[in-house]
Parts: sequence; C-alpha cells; structure tokens
Amino acid sequence: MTMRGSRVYPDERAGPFPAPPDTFEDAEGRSIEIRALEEDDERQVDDLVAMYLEFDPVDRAQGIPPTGERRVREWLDPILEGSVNVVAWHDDQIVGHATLVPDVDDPAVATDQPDSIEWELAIFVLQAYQQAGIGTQLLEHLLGYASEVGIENVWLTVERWNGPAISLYEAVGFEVCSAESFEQEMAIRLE
Amino acid sequence: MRQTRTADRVRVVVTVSSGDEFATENGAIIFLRRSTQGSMNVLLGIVGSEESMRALRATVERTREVGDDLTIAVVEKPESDRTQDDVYAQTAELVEEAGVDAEIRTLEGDPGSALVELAERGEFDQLVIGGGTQSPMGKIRLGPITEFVLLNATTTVKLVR
Repeated sequence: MTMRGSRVYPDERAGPFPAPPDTFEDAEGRSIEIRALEEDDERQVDDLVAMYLEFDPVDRAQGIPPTGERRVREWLDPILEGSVNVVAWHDDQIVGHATLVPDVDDPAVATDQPDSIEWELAIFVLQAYQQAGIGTQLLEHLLGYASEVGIENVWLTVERWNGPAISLYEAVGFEVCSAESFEQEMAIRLE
Repeated sequence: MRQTRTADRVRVVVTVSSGDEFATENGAIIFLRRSTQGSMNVLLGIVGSEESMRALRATVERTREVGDDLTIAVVEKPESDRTQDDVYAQTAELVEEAGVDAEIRTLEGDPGSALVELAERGEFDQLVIGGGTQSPMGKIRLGPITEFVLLNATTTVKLVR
C-alpha cells in the first residue's frame, strides 16, 4: 500500500483499460458510442447539461448532480476545467458521463503533472440507460483515457449501502481505503 | 390585554399575534418584549472547524431572532490544528459581539459521545452541529463525529451545512 496525499493506494497497478472512442451494443441492444468530451465545445457541454436536466433526482448521491439548469451549470463549469471526461452517446443524446476531477486549487498543475496528484472519479448514467452495462464501459474507458494522459492515482467516495456500485468498482481494481463514516473511499493505481 | 396602574402612570400591555408584547404608557407605544413562543433550549456543539464556525454563526443569529436558550459546548478534537482554548475564546468573542446571552463550556473526551451525553443530561430540545465538507467533485461528505451524533443522539439533531 502506498500513501499519496491523505489516501492509501493499492501497490498493484490496474490495467490496461480500453480507451475511447469505442462503440458497443448495450444489454438492451442499443448502439452506444463512448467518446472523450471536448470541454471547449459549447454544444457538447450543452448536451451534457441536457442529460443532467433529465436526471432523476432520486438517483442523486451526496448532493450531486444538482437540479435546475442554473445549478447544473454552476456545478459543471468549474469541474469541467482541468478535468478528464468521457461520455456515452445514444443517437444524438448524451446518456452517461464519467469524470475525473483533480484535487488541486490550481488547474495548471493537473495539466502539467497529472501523475503527481489525486483525481476524484464519478459516473452518472441516465435512468433509462442503467442496468445495461453502460456504467462499466464508461468506467473502463475513463480509466483507459486517464492512463493515456498520465494519471495514476484515482479515488472515489461511494455510499456504504450502495452495494452494486461498490462491486462494480472492485471488479475493475478499486480497493476500499477508508470507511469511517457514511461514505466509504476507494482507490485505484493505474499503469 | 392587561392594564397596570402605578401612582404616576397607566400601562396597557398588548400581545400581538406574533406573540411580541407592546405597551402604551402615558400615550406612547413601547416595545416590551419579544415573543418566547417557539423558543427552545438549544445545545450547540463545535470543534473549531470551518463547518462548526458556520453552525455557530447560524445558531447565534437564530438565538438573537427567536430568543432560544443557548448552550455552546466546545469539544476536544486532538487532530484539530486549533486548541480548545482558541476555539473557546473565538466563540466567546463572537457571542459577545452578537449581544446574545449564551453559556459556553468545554467538553472533554470523545467529541461525539460527550455531546450526545450532555444533550441527554440537560433538558435540551435540540442538539445543533455543523458538518458536511465538499469533495473536489462537489460531493457532500459527513465525518465520523457527525455520523455518531446523528445516529446516537436521543434529542432532535439539527445539522447546519
């Protein structure tokens, strides 16, 4: 086990993971395309906002995503700066989003030395597209993309009672690194 | 409405719907006292973190508006970068500036357990704590003291985020 920042990361590195772009058929027979999000493309950001406006508030975790366009944009604007994002498209609609947000005050550090910092991971899939394998694909492709850009240390928090999510994270190589309150933290070290 | 008469004045006291009391005295209307309806006996627990200072400001503000009875307990948190005395002094200053009457005390031992125990022993209607930090992603996280208090307190708990 290796300490990096405040967290303990597994000694063993996980990977390799597939990188975007990629297309696959989900469990419902829908053709899903996984691509890196171009954060500078306003139209793509608008499509991402549209996905969050359709997101069922019942599936919010730990206060995110927020509701209402103003709050969604207020939440997305800073996290899209310096973060690494992969989205799942079905037809012309974004139906899933996986992101890595750098744990830094200065986004320049994230770009210059991605391996020196910790990255927080989160995945959101629209309700109508859940249980179809899209979350797993998003997760693996995000980690593949992260590896390509030189990211090594990824962590996340998940609510302790969210068994299906925890199993998904464990399956790709995340290990529990702290579980002292409602949420537990998990971490992975990439190749 | 009630009327009192002394040698040199007649005072008529009126309680308005909010519960506030006004009086007329020799022709002038004066404010007598704020309603005590809805006021509570509140215990606020703080450790000196940014979240607990936010809870302190919010609670002092409410106390001033509603007239709660407020007790503030400064708990011990060894890993905190501020000493209990520091936090006590800052709290006393803030309370005094706000012109609020509150009892401030320190608590030894495990913070969560000490707070819950005090809330049970005293006649408190509500235990207030601050909690909830945000991850880089914006996820709200509650720490172990917050979780202990929420799950173990027998009083109503108010979490100020």
